[in-house]
Amino acid sequence: MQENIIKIRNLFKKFGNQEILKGVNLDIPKGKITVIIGRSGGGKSVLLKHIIGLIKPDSGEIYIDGINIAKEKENTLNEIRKRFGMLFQEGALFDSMTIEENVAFPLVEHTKMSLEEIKRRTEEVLSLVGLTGAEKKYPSEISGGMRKRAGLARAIISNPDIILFDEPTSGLDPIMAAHIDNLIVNIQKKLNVTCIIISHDIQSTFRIAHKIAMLYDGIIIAEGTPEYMKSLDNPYLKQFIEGSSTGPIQVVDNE
Amino acid sequence: MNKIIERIGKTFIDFFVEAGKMLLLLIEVIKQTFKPPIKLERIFIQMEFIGVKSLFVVILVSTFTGMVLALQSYTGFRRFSAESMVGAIVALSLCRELGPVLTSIMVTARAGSAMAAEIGTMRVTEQIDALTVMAVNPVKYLIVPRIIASILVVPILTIISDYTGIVGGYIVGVKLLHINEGVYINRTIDLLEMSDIFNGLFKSIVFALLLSLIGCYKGYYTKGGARGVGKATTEAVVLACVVIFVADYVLTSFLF
Repeated sequence: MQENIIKIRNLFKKFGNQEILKGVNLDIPKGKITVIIGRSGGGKSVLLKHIIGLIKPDSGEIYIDGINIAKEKENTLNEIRKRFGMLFQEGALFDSMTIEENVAFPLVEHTKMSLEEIKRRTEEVLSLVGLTGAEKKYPSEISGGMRKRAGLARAIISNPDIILFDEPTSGLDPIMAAHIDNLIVNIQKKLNVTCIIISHDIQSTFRIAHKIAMLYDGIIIAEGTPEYMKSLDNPYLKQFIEGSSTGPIQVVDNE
Repeated sequence: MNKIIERIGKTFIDFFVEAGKMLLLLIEVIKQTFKPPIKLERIFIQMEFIGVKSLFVVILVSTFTGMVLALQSYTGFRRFSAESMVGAIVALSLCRELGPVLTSIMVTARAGSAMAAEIGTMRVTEQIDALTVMAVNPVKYLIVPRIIASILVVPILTIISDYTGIVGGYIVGVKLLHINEGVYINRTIDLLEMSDIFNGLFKSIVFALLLSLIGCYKGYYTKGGARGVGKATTEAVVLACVVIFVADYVLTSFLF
């Protein structure tokens, strides 16, 4: 039996009059890559932000190793957050700092490591993502792909148990996208971490996922291994995987 | 008719919602200020940005204000041969009123706007979320140093502004308009009291808190991309200026 590190139960969230999540139930297996797919603007990012406590749900529970973070106070949340790393869609690097300072930030803030150690560790993760030589550059001076890799380096530097990825391959050329996919797979194997990825990149999803869940209209409509998902006869899922504009999912629906 | 009432009601509600959110932010700032670890270097960096880099513009503005003040009051006072009062009037208006207000307005324009723009950009590019995710409190990291630095630095700038303004007035009054130097200086010393200067400094501390809180608040709650950042910056400057003038009247009527 799989051990689930994160359990989401009956998650509801409304922004104004718009219901984004309408009862999400999802288990995230430990030490695996789970990809959550769905339309843009369909609430994937909102779901991801719930998992790390950036957004509080209207109702429902999010258990991380048995602790319901929906009810926890900021202090406890911060302790739990230290177990996480997150790669934001545009990298979200601090543009007043160099790449090196950005990547070292979690260590500088939360550990008593010496400068030497921090420098060594920073070099280590930067070489892991293939960014050796860009240490002294500022985020505005490097390309989008490099920014994502720097963001990834920052997400893994403090050895998290769980890494969240907000559309890691969007806006990248196919070769860079494949490269990021490889990085994710390698890092996951190497560090044996739990990865949660939200994506609408079907190619990349089937390349890396151990588990896929599809979010549509505020609920998880299908979940399982990539093979299982391919075998399902769900018309919504089929349309999404095939990338067809005709089918039960209306294009104007979510706009 | 209903529409009008609805709109008026909405304006009031929006106003109180905004004021409430700002107050909550202030409470959070106070809480975070005294929560360890306290990192002084972030305050120093902001002090340099807000203070040192505003110095030149403050000196420039207050010198010319002192100069024009001397010129204007001279024209007025000459009509009933009270030219000797020019120095005192320049010093009194600068210390009690113009020093703190002009300094705060200049700091708002330079640093308050930058606070809104910088924090706002960090909000829309998810950098603030990134801070939160890395278990770093964004209020403590971004807002507390800016507010503390403002409160420390604006009074110092005000002292400098008072001083350079008085010097500017002296140059125009004594050197250009040939008011008797001894009378000019003596009148100034006779009529200006320490309480005038201290009350002005107290005002400047309040203004510093207001302008930095508004700048940070507008940035922190920025929504919607580059346009949102632009809007936040403009609103921060306009609101801070208006609030400074209103607070100036209220404080003056209570303090003096």
